[in-house]
Amino acid sequence: MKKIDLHIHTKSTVSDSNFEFSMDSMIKFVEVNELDVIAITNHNIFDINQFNEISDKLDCVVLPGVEVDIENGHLLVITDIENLDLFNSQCESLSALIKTENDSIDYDQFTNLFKNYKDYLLIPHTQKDPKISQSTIEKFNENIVCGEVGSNGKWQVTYKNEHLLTPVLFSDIRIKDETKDDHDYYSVRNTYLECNEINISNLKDTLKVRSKVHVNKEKLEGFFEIGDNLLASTGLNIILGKRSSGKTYILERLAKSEWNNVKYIQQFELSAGSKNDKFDEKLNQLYDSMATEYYKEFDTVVKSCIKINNKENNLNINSYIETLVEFAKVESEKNEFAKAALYSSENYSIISIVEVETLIDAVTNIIDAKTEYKEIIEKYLIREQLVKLHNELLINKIGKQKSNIIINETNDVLNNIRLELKKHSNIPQITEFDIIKFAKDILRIKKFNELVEISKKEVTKKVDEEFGFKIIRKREMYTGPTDLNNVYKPRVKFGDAYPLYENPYEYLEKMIEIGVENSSIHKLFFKVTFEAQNQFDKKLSGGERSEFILLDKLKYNELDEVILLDEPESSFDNIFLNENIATKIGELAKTSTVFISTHNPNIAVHLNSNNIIYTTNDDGIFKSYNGEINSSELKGKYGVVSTKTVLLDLMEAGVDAYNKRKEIYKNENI
Amino acid sequence: MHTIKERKYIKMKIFKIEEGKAYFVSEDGNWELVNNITAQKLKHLISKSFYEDITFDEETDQNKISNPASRIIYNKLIDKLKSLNENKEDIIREVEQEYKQAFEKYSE
Repeated sequence: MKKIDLHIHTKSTVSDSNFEFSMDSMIKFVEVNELDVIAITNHNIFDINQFNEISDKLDCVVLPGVEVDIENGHLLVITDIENLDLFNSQCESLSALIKTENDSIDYDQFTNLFKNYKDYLLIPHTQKDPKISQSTIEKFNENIVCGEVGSNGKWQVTYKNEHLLTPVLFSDIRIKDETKDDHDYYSVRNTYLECNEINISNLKDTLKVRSKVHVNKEKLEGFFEIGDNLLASTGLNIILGKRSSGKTYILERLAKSEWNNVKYIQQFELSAGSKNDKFDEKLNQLYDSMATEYYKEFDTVVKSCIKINNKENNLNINSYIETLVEFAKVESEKNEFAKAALYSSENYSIISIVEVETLIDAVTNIIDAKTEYKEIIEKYLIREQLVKLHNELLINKIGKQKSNIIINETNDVLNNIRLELKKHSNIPQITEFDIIKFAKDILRIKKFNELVEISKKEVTKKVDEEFGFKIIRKREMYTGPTDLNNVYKPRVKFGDAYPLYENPYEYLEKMIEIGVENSSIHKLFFKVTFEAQNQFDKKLSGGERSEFILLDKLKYNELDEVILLDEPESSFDNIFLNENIATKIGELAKTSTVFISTHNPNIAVHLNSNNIIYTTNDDGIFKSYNGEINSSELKGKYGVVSTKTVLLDLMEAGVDAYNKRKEIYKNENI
Repeated sequence: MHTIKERKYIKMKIFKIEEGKAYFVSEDGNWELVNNITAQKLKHLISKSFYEDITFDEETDQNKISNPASRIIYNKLIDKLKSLNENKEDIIREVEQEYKQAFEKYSE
């Protein structure tokens, strides 16, 4: 039989996370896994120089290959060494077409690049992502004889179905420069072929016949290799042994193997997680979405209250009243002004003195005439009468001037009065006040306060059942700032807010002021927590909490290829593991590969395991053996051990102790 | 929680005109001159109008407010409260609807 691995990566490409190739790791990988044939299959590239270097260093057959992105799936293309140069050239053309991780060629492009593809070994991803579609596979007809699957479980299922292509399982490993123990190089994806001479033609012929293809040397169905000459069942495996016999070492090694997804539940996770405060914290995390759902309507109400700008509302109403009163005062005073005669009176006109001044000047000229005209004037006018006329005119003018002074003064007063009257006619505007909006906000605040009072009332209610336990939701008030801090972690001054706890709207305003995020404020009026109770309506015991945690960790296992459990019984009240857990493990083993380490053989029996891996420390040498529970022997690289002896030894603390107890049982009629 | 159906309407006069003077009802139930209105007192009148059927005196030829400033204040406030009164049912209905689901859920 030949052990083959036709899917190995040695170069980092756009389809890989970055890694550095190590020749030492390559050599070690082949050596530890005892490979007879490998293929170098990097994503869409072929490095002929590196290939030749690898070939030179290894003793096994090294075949040139490439993993091609075709029609959004992956296809391994492998050829004989004789085609090396042509293949290299074809891959260069391929590389030119695929530059990014999203690029892909189609069937026509492929057949154009690899015109002689019928001479190559083509292995599509069938039960492995990214899958090649059935329609693409059909295009290749009889040139595809097998399909790569993603796990030992899938291999078993596919192998049994004669209608599907022969499954093959390869490591798909990146040969990295890293420090590892030899044991860490073991691959858990192995394929054996009943084939002698290795060439593409022979490989194809062998792969057509599923009975010639195996995943372990012993050709056992339902088992696969995990290194160190050990086999594991694709179902339930119990790693059995005394303390410090190497059980955990095997689990740790398995945890590091190249699975699609592995869930490793370590012993301390159950014991640490089952402590009261940790458990409560975990439970509330699990039911956080239920808490969110419970708070939903209250959150909506709080958000609408946050939008109320109470300060602005108060400013508005204050401004409205002030301006209303002012307006009323001024508006009413304007009517009195309008009534005042002076408000609409005209000014007095000035009396003209131009005429009298002209007359006075004329009379003054006649009186003061000194020339030839004096005699003519005196012939007709008596000088004395002229003087009297002049004086009377002067008196007249002075009288007018006196009147004008009074008129001017009066007009000044009139102007001032009218100016003052006009000032009071600039009536102020009343500020806009939306009484409807204001009233709505008052009512909202009132309703909010009522709602919070109702919501603070303590209420407990069963809301769920999980793993046979009741889940109780409790609603209650907060007891103080510390209680608030337990729910809202960012550091804010809850000490300033909590005194207002009895006044919900003011409390809300304070929360905003101290910087609590709007998205979290709704959680701080009443507390919602969850508690698990057993059938007696009591809080769970330590063992019950462990059981809950374990079952929760095992809840969503659809993607788990492998599940590892480290001594679960040490965390429980019942050393046999109760029915819930036993049932769950049985279910898991149908779809995932399960490894449970224990020093209690009753568990192996109770759980109906498919495979026992027995570990022992023999004078400092760690030895391991495996076999089915109903087989007489367990086998390993150190030989065989009797299954009965192993179970008795572990169960009954040895044969002598068993014989002594046998007498007791007989005497007591047990 | 008061719903529209459950509320009892009480006829309550909050504004009156008496002997030429205009008054409003204050928080302690006494009548105050309308010129003494403040924001706080108006808030109280608005709150009162939700759960009581409010009434007020209208100014008539027989019942006039003698002080012009008082008349202006009185009539402006009446207009506002009238507008509120007309929309009261809608406001209450709207706010109660906003809170309905929350009250139903948390009144366990």
